[in-house]
Amino acid sequence: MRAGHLVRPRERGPALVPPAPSGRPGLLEVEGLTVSVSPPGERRRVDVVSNVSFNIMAGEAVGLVGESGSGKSLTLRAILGLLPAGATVKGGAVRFEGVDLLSGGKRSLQRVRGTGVTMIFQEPMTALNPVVRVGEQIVDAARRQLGWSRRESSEHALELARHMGIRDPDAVLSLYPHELSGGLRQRVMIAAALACQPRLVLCDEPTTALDVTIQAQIVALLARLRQESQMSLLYVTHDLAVVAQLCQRLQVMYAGSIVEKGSVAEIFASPRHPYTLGLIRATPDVHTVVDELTGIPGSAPHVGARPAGCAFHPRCSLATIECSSGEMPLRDLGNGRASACIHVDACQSAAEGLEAVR
Amino acid sequence: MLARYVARRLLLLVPVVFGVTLLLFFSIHLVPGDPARSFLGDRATPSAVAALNKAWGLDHPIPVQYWLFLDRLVHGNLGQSLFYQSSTAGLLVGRLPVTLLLLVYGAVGSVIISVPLATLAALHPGGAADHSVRVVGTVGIGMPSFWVGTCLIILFGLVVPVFPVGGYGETWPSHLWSLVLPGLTIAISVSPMLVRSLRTSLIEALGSDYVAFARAKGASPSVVLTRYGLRNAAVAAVSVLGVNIGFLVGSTVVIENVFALPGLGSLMVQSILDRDFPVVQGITLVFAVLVVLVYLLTDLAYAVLDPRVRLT
Repeated sequence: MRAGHLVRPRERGPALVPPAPSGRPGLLEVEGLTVSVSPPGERRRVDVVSNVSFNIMAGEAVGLVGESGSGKSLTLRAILGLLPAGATVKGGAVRFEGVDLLSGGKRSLQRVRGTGVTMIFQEPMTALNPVVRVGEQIVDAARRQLGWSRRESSEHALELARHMGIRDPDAVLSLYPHELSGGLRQRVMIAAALACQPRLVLCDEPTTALDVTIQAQIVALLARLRQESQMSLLYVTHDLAVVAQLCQRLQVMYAGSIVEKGSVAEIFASPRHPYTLGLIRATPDVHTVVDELTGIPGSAPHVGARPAGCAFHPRCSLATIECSSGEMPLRDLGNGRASACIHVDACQSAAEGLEAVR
Repeated sequence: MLARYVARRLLLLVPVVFGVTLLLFFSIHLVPGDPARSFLGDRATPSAVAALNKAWGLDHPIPVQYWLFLDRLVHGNLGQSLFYQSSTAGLLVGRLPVTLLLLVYGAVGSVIISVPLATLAALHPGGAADHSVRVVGTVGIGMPSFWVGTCLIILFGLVVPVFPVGGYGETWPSHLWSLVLPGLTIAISVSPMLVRSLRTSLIEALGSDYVAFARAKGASPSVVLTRYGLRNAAVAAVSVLGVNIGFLVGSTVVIENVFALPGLGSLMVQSILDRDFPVVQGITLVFAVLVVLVYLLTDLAYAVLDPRVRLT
């Protein structure tokens, strides 16, 4: 492989459909996705992801933010057909370049994985095969899909490792995952994920398990790779700072639903959902001295015990009686923004207070 | 590093052998009857019996006999068989290959049986295949090996005469052929345990993040199953296999008798009936060493399969 292999336009891998005209419809379209599970020891099924819809355009980076248990990881896994045992897709559609991945069966998924869409995981220690050398893991899938010879594979592995900023790749690639540092492991995983030059990378909190300096390096690496190769990112995290650094658009998930979406700049300037507002307030800022961090009171509802109406209303300072019943669909606010809050105006005034605090 | 580890494990053989011989030497004399009388027959005069016992050194007190035995042992001498005109060591060397080969057949056979069954069960836990494999395994565990052996003889020796019903043959091809049914008997008795352990670890592996990531990379289902699933499941299964093979060293006694194989197990039974003490002691020693070696090989295989394991 020659240098700059990630920059080159795709020349291999069969196109599934003719390229979409000028970015529309999106590269990935998720429509009404609903995922259900059985809570431990129960027979009934509960929706953990309900009616989630979004688009990702070619070359775009989208953040998906929410706390643990909000369903963001399951959303990612559902897209690639990687739901854990017990979780099933109850409804909705996932289309990649127009091809439905949910109803297309295993073959359409298999064709898209790796070359079209791939995913990087939170914990590289558990996401890498513990008993196989990392050099082999980087190229084992790509080798078959792209028909590389053994020799080509090892050259590609070296090149990918170098491209991920791994120093002394010859030595590193012959090691096993447990012999690497956390940061190196994550670089190895990213190299493996990108071996087939996918057009969309789903990132499941890829920096959460790393310490802060390494986090910054990995985020910088992802930003660089994205610029070079025009790949799209769907970045799941609970770290708003990372979203601000990497993404153009943001969607906020709470209790299995998207409660707000819009451009990163606009949402950060003026959130239109009290939950988003709470998240932004809870983010520490090195430029201001505070005695105490502002948290969101209460805790996220357990799966299967989500309150009626707006799931956030028991924790919300703006909640009124109307919030405790009925459906709370996302309402379009224009300019690509949407919120599920029925008190958007009150939220806007509360957010002005946010600016004042800063 | 590896050589030191192996050397240290082999050194462990010394206390094991000492303990085994001590236990055996004293317990074997609790068995009623004496070798001279069983050799000379019921009509032998007491003086003839006493003379033979003296010739064999059996007139000494047992601790003295034990001391003499140990003295010979450290000089590499297992003594003379009382009944065969041969040294014990010579007898054992002739019989050992049969038993070793039988164990290899059993180990290989159980892997051949278990891997597909465990895979079938683990691919859809709780599905029809999983339940069928579980039922077959439970039935398999409940069947004693002498009965399984007899059934196989009736089935493949008499009803569908494909394999010899017993004996070891004269040539190497016939040796290999005649060990198929005995090996299968061993494999059938080990497989249920192995299937169970493989199934559990395979389900765990297939539900792991590294398998999800392999799929996300676009690895083909066969690569995911073999290089990610089975490769990791083998790590746990190899110890189960090793422990069971070690255990089976003893059960070759039964299987060799069912199939009339001239191995150590059948010699053991005959020697006990004859009160041929030196031979019984020799075979027991060989069995003890075999078990220790099987466990050592298991640990080595474990370290080869899992790079995280450090032999210390």
